[in-house]
Amino acid sequence: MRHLSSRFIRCTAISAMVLSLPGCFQDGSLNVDPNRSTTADAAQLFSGAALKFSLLRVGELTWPVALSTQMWSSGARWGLAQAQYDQTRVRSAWGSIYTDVLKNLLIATREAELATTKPTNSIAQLKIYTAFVYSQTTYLWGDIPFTEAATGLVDNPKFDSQQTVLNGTLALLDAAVASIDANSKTIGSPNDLYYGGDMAKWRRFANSLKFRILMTMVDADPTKAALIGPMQGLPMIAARTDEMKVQYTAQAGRQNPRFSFTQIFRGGVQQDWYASNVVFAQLLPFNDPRLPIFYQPGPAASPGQFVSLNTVEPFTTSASLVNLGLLKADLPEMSFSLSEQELLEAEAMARGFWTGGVSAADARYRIGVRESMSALGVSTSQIDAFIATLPILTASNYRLELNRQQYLDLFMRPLEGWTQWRRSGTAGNEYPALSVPSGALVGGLVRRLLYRSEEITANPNTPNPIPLQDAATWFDK
Amino acid sequence: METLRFVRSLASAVFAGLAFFPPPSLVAQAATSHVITGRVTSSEGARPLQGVTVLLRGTRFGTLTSAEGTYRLQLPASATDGVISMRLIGFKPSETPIAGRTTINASLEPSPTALTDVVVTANAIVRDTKELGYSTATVQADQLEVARSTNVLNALAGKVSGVRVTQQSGTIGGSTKIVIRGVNSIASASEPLFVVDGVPISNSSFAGTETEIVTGGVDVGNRAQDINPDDIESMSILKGAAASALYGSRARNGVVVVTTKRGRAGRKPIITYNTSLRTDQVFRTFDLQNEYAQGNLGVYNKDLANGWGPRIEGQQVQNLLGETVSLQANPTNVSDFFRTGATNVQSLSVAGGSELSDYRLSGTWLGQTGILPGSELARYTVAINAGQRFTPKFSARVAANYIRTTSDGRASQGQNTASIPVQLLSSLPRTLSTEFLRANRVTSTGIAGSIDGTGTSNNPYWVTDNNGLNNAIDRLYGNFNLSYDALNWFNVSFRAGTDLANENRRFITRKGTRGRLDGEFDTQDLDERELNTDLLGTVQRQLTSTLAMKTILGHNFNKRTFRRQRVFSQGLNIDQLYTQANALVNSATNFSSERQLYGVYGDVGLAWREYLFVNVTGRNDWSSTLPTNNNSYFYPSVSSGFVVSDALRDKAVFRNGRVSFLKLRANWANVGSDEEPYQLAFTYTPLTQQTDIYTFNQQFPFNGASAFAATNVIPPANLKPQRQNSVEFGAESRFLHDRVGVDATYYQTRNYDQIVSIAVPQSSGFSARRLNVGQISNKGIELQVTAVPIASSAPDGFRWDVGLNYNRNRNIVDKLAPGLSEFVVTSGDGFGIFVAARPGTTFNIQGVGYARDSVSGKYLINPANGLRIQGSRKLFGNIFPDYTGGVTNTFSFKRVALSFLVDVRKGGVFLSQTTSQLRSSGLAAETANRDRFVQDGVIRNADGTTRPNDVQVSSVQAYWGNLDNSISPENNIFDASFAKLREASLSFRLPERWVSKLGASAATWSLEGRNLWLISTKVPHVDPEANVLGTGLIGEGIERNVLPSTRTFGMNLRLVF
Repeated sequence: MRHLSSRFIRCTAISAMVLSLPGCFQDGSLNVDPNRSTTADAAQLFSGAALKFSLLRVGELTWPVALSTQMWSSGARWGLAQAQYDQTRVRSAWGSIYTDVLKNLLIATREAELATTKPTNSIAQLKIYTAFVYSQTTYLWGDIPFTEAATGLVDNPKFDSQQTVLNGTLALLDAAVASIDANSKTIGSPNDLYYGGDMAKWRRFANSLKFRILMTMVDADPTKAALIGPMQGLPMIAARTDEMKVQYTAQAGRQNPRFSFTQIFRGGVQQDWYASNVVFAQLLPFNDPRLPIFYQPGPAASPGQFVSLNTVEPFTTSASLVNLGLLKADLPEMSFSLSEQELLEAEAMARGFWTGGVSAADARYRIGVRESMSALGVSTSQIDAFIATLPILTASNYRLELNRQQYLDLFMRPLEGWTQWRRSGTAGNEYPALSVPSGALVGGLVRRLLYRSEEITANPNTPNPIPLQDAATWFDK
Repeated sequence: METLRFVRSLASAVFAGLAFFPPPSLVAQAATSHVITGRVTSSEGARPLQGVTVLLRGTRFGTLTSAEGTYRLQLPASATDGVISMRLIGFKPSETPIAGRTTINASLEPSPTALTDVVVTANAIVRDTKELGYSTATVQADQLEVARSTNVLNALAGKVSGVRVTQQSGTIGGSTKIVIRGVNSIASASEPLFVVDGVPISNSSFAGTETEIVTGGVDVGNRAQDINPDDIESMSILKGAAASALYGSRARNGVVVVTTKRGRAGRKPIITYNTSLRTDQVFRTFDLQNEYAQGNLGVYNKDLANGWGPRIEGQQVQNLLGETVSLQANPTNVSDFFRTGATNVQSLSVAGGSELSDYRLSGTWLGQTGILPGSELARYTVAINAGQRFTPKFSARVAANYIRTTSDGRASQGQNTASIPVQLLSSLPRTLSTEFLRANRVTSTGIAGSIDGTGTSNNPYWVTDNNGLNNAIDRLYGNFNLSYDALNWFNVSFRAGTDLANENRRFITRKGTRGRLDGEFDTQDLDERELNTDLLGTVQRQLTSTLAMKTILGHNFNKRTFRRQRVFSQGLNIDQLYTQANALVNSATNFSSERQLYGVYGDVGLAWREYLFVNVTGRNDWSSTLPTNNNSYFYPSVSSGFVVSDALRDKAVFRNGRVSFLKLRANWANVGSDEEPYQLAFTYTPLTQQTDIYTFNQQFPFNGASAFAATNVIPPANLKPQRQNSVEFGAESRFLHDRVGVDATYYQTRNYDQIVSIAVPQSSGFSARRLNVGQISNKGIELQVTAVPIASSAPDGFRWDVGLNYNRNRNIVDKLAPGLSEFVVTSGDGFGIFVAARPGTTFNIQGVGYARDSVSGKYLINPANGLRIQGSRKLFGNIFPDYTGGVTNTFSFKRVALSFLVDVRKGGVFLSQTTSQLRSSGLAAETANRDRFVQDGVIRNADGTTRPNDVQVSSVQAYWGNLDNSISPENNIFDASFAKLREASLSFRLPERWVSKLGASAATWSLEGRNLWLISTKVPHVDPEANVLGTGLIGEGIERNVLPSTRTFGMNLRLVF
């Protein structure tokens, strides 16, 4: 009833007497939305964007990527289409990354930059995260809008090359790290879902991310080796407490979606995700103690009997399933782990980007494998026994041995696993070797996601012809 | 008594406010009046006629006769030499000069045709249909009371040309969609405005977002169903914009004008008691196979809920409990699930009046049990309508309706939750017996039983026992009206009406439900309010001996508010305790909105010699929802009626009765309309959750963090009001001494500057931009024919009446935004099936088709498995009908009348997800032939040529799996044409000697039925009218696990005391 009586009298008199006099609602106050705000705080925008991106990574993007890259098998319980490269279930991710994640990050950054006292730390956090999102997005789709994207200023953003995007993320990271300032305002707890505003950790993550991006670029652009070298010794992720992750909880409405999937669709009984032959072959011959942690025996299997499936093979009641222990409600969504960092460091040393050579790489490699297993809860004695069986890294075997461990390390992180697989060797020489599944929609192995029809329909700048699933992106060399 | 608020005099809007009304005591002394009383009977048997319109010709002074045929008409003292006209549907009008008399009795002669003579138009103004320059239709109370439906709109189905009425589901208290002359927007539902006694009321249907509706949504009903059929005197349908310019913008989709019953002056109060009992059964059940058990490729597997196992031959297998049983088919396990519903309607009213006042009080109780176990609805209605003439010049009227509806057990529809009864039934193995299902609704561990061995799906009896929506709605709508005859040619009146609806809703998923083992419930409190005032001044003058004028000037204020509070509670500690403190997590959201509008309007009507009528209207609105610099908009209309048969009454063709009546009419209107509230600013929304496509939503605060997000819609710059332009031409005629009547109309509407959110590339950071864009138009013809093939001249002799209506509407999306080739009207479908519009077409169902050979047009077949290959996106056809029509036949003889209505739709397409499921799960009867076969199609050779397909399908199971909606909807889209026996009734007027023993004056007993027979359809398994999208969304024609509609039989007894 805001101002009703006076407004009523005024408007009644005005409108009744003079038809043409536009006398009503002139202040627009009645049309001010009581449900939404016309301003927002950068911290609030950041937590909204970050949770959305985490949710996409751990949910919608996980299943199609894990199935099409043969990290998991569906046993035909959830259809074979995704294993055969059908991507119609990647429905909202493209749009959501731009509209729900990047736009809000860019608005928050712009608002922060316009503030009289610039919160340079907040800006650094936002830029580091923006770089993270863009790097992930280009690994999935290849060429993507970057320089003109997500601002609302350009109706039809152009598609930038993957090289441009990745170089752009490096520039964002450099700028962010340079602007970190102990005295400046920070997005703190609870809105910083990752580090609670600890800028030392953000700096470590930024350096690790830059390191990871350079390592993905170096095969396509060897000049990046010159940038990798100087990173040795910079503060990077060095402890579990440095890890970049969102912690889900057992509480309803805050549970890891991988748990919710089984809970909602299957009444809590895991019956969708099966052991794939490809991963299985990296575990069983090596007596890898992670096998019973990755998998649980099928309902009709005898105790300790593990059976894997081809990705387009219907399930059997004895087929092994992805362990429910890895689909728990309170598992974090890991964006950058300590073991990933350690194994990347081993690779940089072995490849000569960093000093120390193969022998230093071997030591770092064993630290990385130990961490990878320890984080999964493998007992120290089992870890010790397994590490003792690992061959000493040499110039001739390091690629294979590192690839295997890096791949297994990313078993529950299919997005990073897919990137790792694509950069693990030239086309046809990736590790592990995959074959095109029967019934696949394209003739080659899956190497990218398809642009969504909403973008293709609305944006004339979408690459034409549209690259299919088996077209390699720039970094995939 | 002044039952109809006729307006009488020149107005000036400066007479604003009630302060200008002189006190009654002063008025009483002002002028004396001339009162005429009388009784009107039928020339056949001197039966008293109720509801006869008694009018001083050429003026708006009038009244209606009582049940005893009596009337009392109060006229200005000067009106002693006028002519009194009396009209009633089905009778020839009578005209009698007053000649100074105070008593005028009349006897009306039955007329074979039944065209309506008067109609209630804008602002409750009763007008002679002969004056109107636009098409209207009126449905009288007796037509609405046949086989009473819980939703009164269902009673309009098939009865009025140009009006398409579709019951959305068989949900108890479910919704009914009404579209008049085609849809007018690509962006919002084109529901007509509902007006009761001159005041708009809400017909909202808040069922949630598109996604919520198709993923386990509930048909919550539309609020027009609160109008009690027993209280309705008549329903007039104003179809075009010209008919309703005075109601404002919302009338551009047409108006349903409801006039409620009133008391009449009479010797004693009239008590009417009506009792109606009926049963509801499933209108259409699935056509199932009963030969094959659950399994895979012919091998039994209890884990699966389907029909792809072995032939059922009594073999020994393990059942869901691990017991060894012999395999048996249970042909009735689906049909047994539904029960026979019952409806009981008891209505009592008292009506009466004196010379100065009238009243009607009524109470109605409706109790219903639905076809779904556990579903029930109760509705109480109390209504009062009373008028008082304080002085000869000053009168007042008040009407109020209170309705309380409670319902329980409304079920989920759509998909993606484990609690949708129809989805569970459409995968129910044929081997599970009704007894088994009933006995095993709960497992030994206390959670829901399942219909498959893996425990994925719930036992449907668990679902109906425990899960579903219950709600309680309190609705109050009413108005008061003050009328003052300032001069004998000038009246000023003020009317204020309000409509309050409060609904408490709770959707429960019990702890132990598979898919939601922890249990959850969703509580919503919805509050909707509308306040509407009209101040009207009316001038009525005879300008010359041949030219009369009536001018109305008015001022309108309208305010609408909506408020919603929602708490979603997850994780219940104690089973079945639905209080928020018992939940581990509660997430609350609230929303409120308010909009206001001021309007001033005028209507100048001229009548030349009572056969040429012209009305010019204009209205200007100021809306709170538009930009402040562009919130005022004007909209005009012109309409004209020309009664040729009166103008040329001396011509032989009119004089000899071959053409007894001929009128031509034409109108033009341009209507502006406003925007939804709060669409103009760039805003940030506080987030309650981040959503996931699988609804694994994450709630805020998350780990203590709250969050905001910027809008995804770029707000409009320089927004203008939307516009609708319409023209209409029509002719109304009666032939052969009124034995045949024809009313034909051609109309054209063009909606432009639509306010639409148009998709932009998502990489821009936004999903849509809101702007004025696009154009959608409708062109159509309407035909209403009435005929009396047989009419005996004897009193109460045999008579056969036929009523026919036909409507053909062509809807075209003329333009979208520049460069935009497609607009998704309604999506929210998991399989990429949309209702979409492309320029030059209308609304189509769109999805992925099967690939076809471009030369032969045949399906391309995969030589590896003999199955069709997925192709590209395509349009599968128009969702709207080519034409609709209805035919009513009524036979009456003596005291008995038999009537039936056949309702027809031709054309348009319909998608059935339920059919897709029944087929891909091997349960539909058409899947029973399990012999592999070669389907028609071609195989592409390596050189690009084709050869006829010679590869057998890899299995029949694979064949039907390949035809599932998830591959392509193509095989599950059907021609939506149907013919239905919509209504039938056999009524018997009891002899007076029987009736008098009951102390009553009249009694009618009838047997009635609704949705009796699906005469023809091309859609298998389900009702071709079902629609999961409901009335709030624009799209239609998509059926997705919709609760089946019902067939109703019943009896009705009406006693008048």
